[in-house]
Amino acid sequence: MKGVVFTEFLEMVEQKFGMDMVNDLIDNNTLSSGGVYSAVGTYDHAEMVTLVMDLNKRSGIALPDLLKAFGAYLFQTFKTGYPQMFENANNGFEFLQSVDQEIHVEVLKLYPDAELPSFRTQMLEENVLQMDYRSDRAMGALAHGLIEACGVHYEENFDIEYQPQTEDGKHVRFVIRKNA
Amino acid sequence: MSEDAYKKAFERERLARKEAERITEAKSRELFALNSALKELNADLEARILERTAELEQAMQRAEANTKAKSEFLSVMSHEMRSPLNVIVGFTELLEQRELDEPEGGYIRNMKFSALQLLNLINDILDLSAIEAGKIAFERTPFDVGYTINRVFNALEQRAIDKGLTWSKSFPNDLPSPLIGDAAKLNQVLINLLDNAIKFTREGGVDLDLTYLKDKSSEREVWIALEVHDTGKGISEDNLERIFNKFEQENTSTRRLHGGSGLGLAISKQLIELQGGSIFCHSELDKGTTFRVELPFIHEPRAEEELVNTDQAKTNLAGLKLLVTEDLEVNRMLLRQMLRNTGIVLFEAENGKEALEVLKTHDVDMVLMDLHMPEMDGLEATKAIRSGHVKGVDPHLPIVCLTADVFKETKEEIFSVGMNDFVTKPMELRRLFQVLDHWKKHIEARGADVV
Repeated sequence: MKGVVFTEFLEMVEQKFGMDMVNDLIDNNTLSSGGVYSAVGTYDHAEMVTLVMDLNKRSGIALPDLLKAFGAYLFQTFKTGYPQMFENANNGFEFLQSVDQEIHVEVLKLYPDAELPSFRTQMLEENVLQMDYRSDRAMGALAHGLIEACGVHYEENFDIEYQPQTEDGKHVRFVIRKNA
Repeated sequence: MSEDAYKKAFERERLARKEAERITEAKSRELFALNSALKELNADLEARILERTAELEQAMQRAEANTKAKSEFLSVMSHEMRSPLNVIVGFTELLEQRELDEPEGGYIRNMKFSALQLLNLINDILDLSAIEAGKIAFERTPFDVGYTINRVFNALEQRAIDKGLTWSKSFPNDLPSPLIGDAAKLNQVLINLLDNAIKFTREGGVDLDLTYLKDKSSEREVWIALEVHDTGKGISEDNLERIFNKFEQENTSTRRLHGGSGLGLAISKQLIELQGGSIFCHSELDKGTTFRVELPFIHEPRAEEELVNTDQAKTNLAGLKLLVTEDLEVNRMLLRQMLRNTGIVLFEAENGKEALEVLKTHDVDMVLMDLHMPEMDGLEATKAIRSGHVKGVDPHLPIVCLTADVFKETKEEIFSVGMNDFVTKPMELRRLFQVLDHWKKHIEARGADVV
């Protein structure tokens, strides 16, 4: 998993829960990186799972809610750090459709070994977009947070249906309705 | 928050920074290596492009050499075929004058028609190879444009009448004459256009309009327009673009029906454009076709004197002592027939060596010299005469070359060895008389000077 996800996650924890929480998460878990993350590095995905589970336990906040909040946080990071991602999209649906077709294509050029989730999209009606999240990481809730933040960014009123397609959470279908 | 917590956080940040630096350094090295590889690849590609370009150049040179060899072969072959064919045409013409009874008279006419057809085809191929090789030369001789065009018009009249077509013309009465240009090439273009018009018209007729383009002309340059209208089947728009292409006729059935090499219009277009003129075609299906040629000629009022009337020239030639040097008996015979009743005293030689012998022992005014002859060719013989080392031979003797070559190089060569003029084969009576008359006057003028 890309280091930027770890550094942003810990920054969010620091902002919302304080520096002590960050130290607790790192000190009380066995992490092969020792809890030292750099945005340009790549780290074991299992470490992220450990950190998120422990945060859930310590904060008492439900796992999907935590991931959703992280998704919203991550979206802001993308906005300031990677403005070029938004250059070709005029609205929320265009942006969501460009994730698989354009953004991930560019990410793979820079990081050929990156393991990215897939986001297949299909227009169901003029104002309804279906988006299929598929990933071994099973972090559909994180995607949910990102999609919500996308609606906020484009000032569009998204009504998002979260439909798990498999029990392990590796395939989640989002049906996104844009309300006038 | 405890001091310890900050220390830990600080330590983690320090380590993270080091790791980031390490990764950045590694990425830089990776980029450097990739960049070097790219540069190498680029250099390699450039080297390969140079190599390929050289290979292509060689291939192109080979292809060009091949094409040139083929053109030369075609040209030589055509040339070899043309010489005997000229003889056949010449003798058929002589037989025709005998006004034989039928069916022999008809046989002769058919023979002449077929021989001329074959001659035209060969001439077309020769012309085209000369044009393509950039070897075509245009004569700049004064001639009466109206007279020349009228002669072509009259020559084709019988064919139009035989086909039941109307045959009309309109000529301007203020066209300056003579004009300087290439009469033979003008004939060639006009014959082609009129011949096509007759060929492709079943009913109605053909009309020839000659106009003097005063607006386009200047004091030194005279532009004429020639329009050939027919009421034939017309040419479709698609085919209109292709008719000036080589070997293209409207379609294959056209070829079956009307014959021809399909070179006529391609050659005409080239001949016109190389002289600075232009040719257009306008056509409507089932209504007819109009070809319009615009062509410039040089206008020089002084040139008028040089234009001689054939009949007048004939009488002037009496007493001229002329040596014909030509290896082929048939050609000598043809000349004998052509110069009959002119009062010219004719000597004959079969090659350059014989010619020198004749000149040593006889008083000769002028020489007609063939180029290709056994033992001593025309160029060698001319060099010998001009050297002044041949005892009893006037080194200033006018020498007129007889050549079937249309090539620029040949013409340059004959003048460089000191020949004075040339007459192209097949010989045209008018041109032959004109040249003989010109040089006879030259001799007379020289004689007067000496006195």
